[in-house]
Amino acid sequence: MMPEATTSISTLSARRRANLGLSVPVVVAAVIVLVIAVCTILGSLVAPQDPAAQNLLLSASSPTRDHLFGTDQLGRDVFSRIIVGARTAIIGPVIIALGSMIISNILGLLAGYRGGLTDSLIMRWVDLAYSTPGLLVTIVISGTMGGGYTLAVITLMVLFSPFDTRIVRGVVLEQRSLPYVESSRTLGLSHLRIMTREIWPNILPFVVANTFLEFAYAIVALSGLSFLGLGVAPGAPDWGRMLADNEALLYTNAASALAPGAMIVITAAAMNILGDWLFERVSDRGRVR
Amino acid sequence: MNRVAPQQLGAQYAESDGVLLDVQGLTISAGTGRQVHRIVTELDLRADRGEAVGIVGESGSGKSMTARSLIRLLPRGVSSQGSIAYRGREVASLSSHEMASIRGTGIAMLLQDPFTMLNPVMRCGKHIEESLRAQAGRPHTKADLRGEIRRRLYEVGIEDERIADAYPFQLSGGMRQRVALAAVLAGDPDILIADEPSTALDVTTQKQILALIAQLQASRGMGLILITHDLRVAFSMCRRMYVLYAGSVLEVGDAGSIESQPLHPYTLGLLLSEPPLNKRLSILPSMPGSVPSPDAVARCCPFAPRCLWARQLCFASKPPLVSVGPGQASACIRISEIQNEMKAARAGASTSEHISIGPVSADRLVAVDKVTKLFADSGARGQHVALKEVSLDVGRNESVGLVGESGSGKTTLARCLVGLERPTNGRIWINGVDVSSFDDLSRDNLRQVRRTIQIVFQDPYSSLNPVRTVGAILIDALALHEHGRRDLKVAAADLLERVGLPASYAARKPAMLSGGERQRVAIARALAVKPDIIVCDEPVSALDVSVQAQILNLFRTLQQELGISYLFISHDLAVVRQTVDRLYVLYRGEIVESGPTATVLDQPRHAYTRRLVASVPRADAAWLQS
Repeated sequence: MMPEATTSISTLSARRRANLGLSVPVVVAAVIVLVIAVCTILGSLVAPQDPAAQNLLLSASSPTRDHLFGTDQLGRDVFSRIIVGARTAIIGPVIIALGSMIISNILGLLAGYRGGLTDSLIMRWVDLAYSTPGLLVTIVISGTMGGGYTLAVITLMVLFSPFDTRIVRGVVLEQRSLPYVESSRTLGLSHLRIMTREIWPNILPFVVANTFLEFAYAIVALSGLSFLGLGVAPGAPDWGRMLADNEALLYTNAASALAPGAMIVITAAAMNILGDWLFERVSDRGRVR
Repeated sequence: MNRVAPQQLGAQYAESDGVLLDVQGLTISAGTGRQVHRIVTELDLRADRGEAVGIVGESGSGKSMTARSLIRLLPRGVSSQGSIAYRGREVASLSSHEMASIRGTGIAMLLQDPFTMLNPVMRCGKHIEESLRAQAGRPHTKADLRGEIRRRLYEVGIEDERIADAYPFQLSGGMRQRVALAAVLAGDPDILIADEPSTALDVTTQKQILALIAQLQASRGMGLILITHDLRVAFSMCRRMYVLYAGSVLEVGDAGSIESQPLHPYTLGLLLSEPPLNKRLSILPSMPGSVPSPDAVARCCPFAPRCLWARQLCFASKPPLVSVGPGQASACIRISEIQNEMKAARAGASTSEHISIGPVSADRLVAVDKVTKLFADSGARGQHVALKEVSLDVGRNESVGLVGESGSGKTTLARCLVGLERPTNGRIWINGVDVSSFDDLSRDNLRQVRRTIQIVFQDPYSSLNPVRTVGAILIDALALHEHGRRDLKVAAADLLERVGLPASYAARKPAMLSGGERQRVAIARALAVKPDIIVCDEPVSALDVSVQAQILNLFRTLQQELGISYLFISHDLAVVRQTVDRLYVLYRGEIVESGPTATVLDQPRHAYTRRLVASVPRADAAWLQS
């Protein structure tokens, strides 16, 4: 049998300090996310050139010292457009991931904790979402309603939440039958309090990790919509949009087409790595060893 | 590939002394680099041919890891140093093929949990067949094999040959443990390591399994290393025993001499902590504190922090195991000085007088009237009867016991009382309120019921929210019923003090507490609403013996100080004897006997109660035969 949980506080915190689990990939991912966050917040302030300034004489030029990723068809600086484009590429998925997290936490807690009719109704809705092709629905909705960034973000948020709801419900079910929840019930704590103060902190690691994963899905999905012309307005700097616009330049200035695609992949991967790392850290607390 | 039969392995060594297993200086540690944790320190162990040896220790003593290291089955990240010689051959030097051929046929291991030890998708006969195949010269034809399996099952007391075709999940726990034993013994091992073989079983089944192991050990002339936390079990089964504590052996000796004259304060403490079945003591002798981690006591006598007789010297260095008499060795450096005091302590403890039962008012706090609870069954039979017309009552300031084995319905009844289950039929009154259906109670009635009855669960590891501090847990409970009182922190500190914990524990999270401390917090939380009665569902069965007595004493103190009633649910009759005035015996959902504790336990009338009483482990070999 392993030593009982008589570990004193000092050794516990020492172990935690010594073992933050900061591996090279995690550090690299953190730096990438930090840089992208700065671009998202400051936008054109950190862009070396005006992202909208056209220079038709210098269209589709290969990377030079002035234009790190070259220029696009209209002679706009691709590097600057990528920096400015971070805003629409990041903020949308952040809203989607957070919004979907909030919806799914409320519904998942209700379904898992209350059970019965509440559970059945919520889960039927989840089943419905599972049985419809999500991205196709988004395309149809965006297409018929005229597209637009806000509409795309809201649609994706609503479409993502059932998947999260199912995950949250699963972990809530697991917690609900544990004695600590049952003793809260026998004490007479209100259901709301049990859901929010007792159960929710315990499922937080899953919620956090899932939100990061969801962000990675969202950035790909949203860029996809922009690529199809259903996201941001034409002309606006956006990674998905740029990928579509510059696709034709693959043989004249490959960097202009590859760079936005690479950014999407790198951001999604970095968030994934950070999400995993955070999950490890958060789920560690309070665990009996 | 050229397999070596284990019989040949030690052929070049003289075996005249009959030593099968010789362990010298075994040290087991977990982790790597700077984060190495000791699990076992410098352990010496010997097992002779045909000898039954016990390793006794509480949780965290390192007994299971010791057993695993003997067959080189330590979990990943755990390593061992020192010498383990099986028939004169160093186990560490064997190739993994040689080791595999020793496992099962040389050294076999029976694990604690019969529910996970057998592969659920493999028929029982197949488990035995696999072990048979590991041996050379075994029958090959199907009929031979079938006959051999039948013979092996018969050996462990299974006469129904259809069991061979049954899947493990179709059998009861005791049956599974028998099948596991047959599979383990199919390799005809020289030595059997049994790691808590009966702990997961009911008391009546436990006795049967232990008797079976003892009988097989004797008839086969097999060596046995029995690992247990229960001194009485070790005394009844073993000739020699090792007392392990925080990774170190504190005492070695013949079972008889240890029982009659323990030569280490820890062994004495263990013996005294074991509550007697035949009388009720006024105060249970208990050891302070809880089992430390081996690292925390690496440089002193491991028991010194909890020892009544500890002096400066005991903390100075780690005392070695020194021979103190024929066949007995102790790691206590003061043993010659304190031997007489220890004798006196033991004599004093066993004569401490009965407690008189206080006046019980006629006021019934809990009344259960013909409650039946049915559960939907997953099988074809439709419904499973968990409780059948159970009637029971608990008076004010009274403590009432409910005993029964797993599946008897005792936990279901507890859950019905606090509204976690709803009885199918019958009525339950709590303090005059009909709570047969908690959902239909008015807000005021519900509040009153919650203030009347609270529950303490069995498992202190999951009954506290792991992410919240002890203080926050208590304050939440206090805030519910103390409106307007602002100094909730002070109230929480009072509660902690009442259950014997320092107020500073409010800042800790449950993971930083030991099992006993967590159970104290769980009790404090139940006390927060000032209940009249606490339902205790096996509150000490997950705790070590040395801690169990502390908690039982706490229950008693709380009753005397606060006038609380208990409905005390347990499978352990000795524990019940110490805590309750009246007793109900539950068997398969029905109350088969009830009455004053002393009457029920001393003159049991129902056949099942008699069987239950006879199953309580006693510290002699005659217990297994009875």
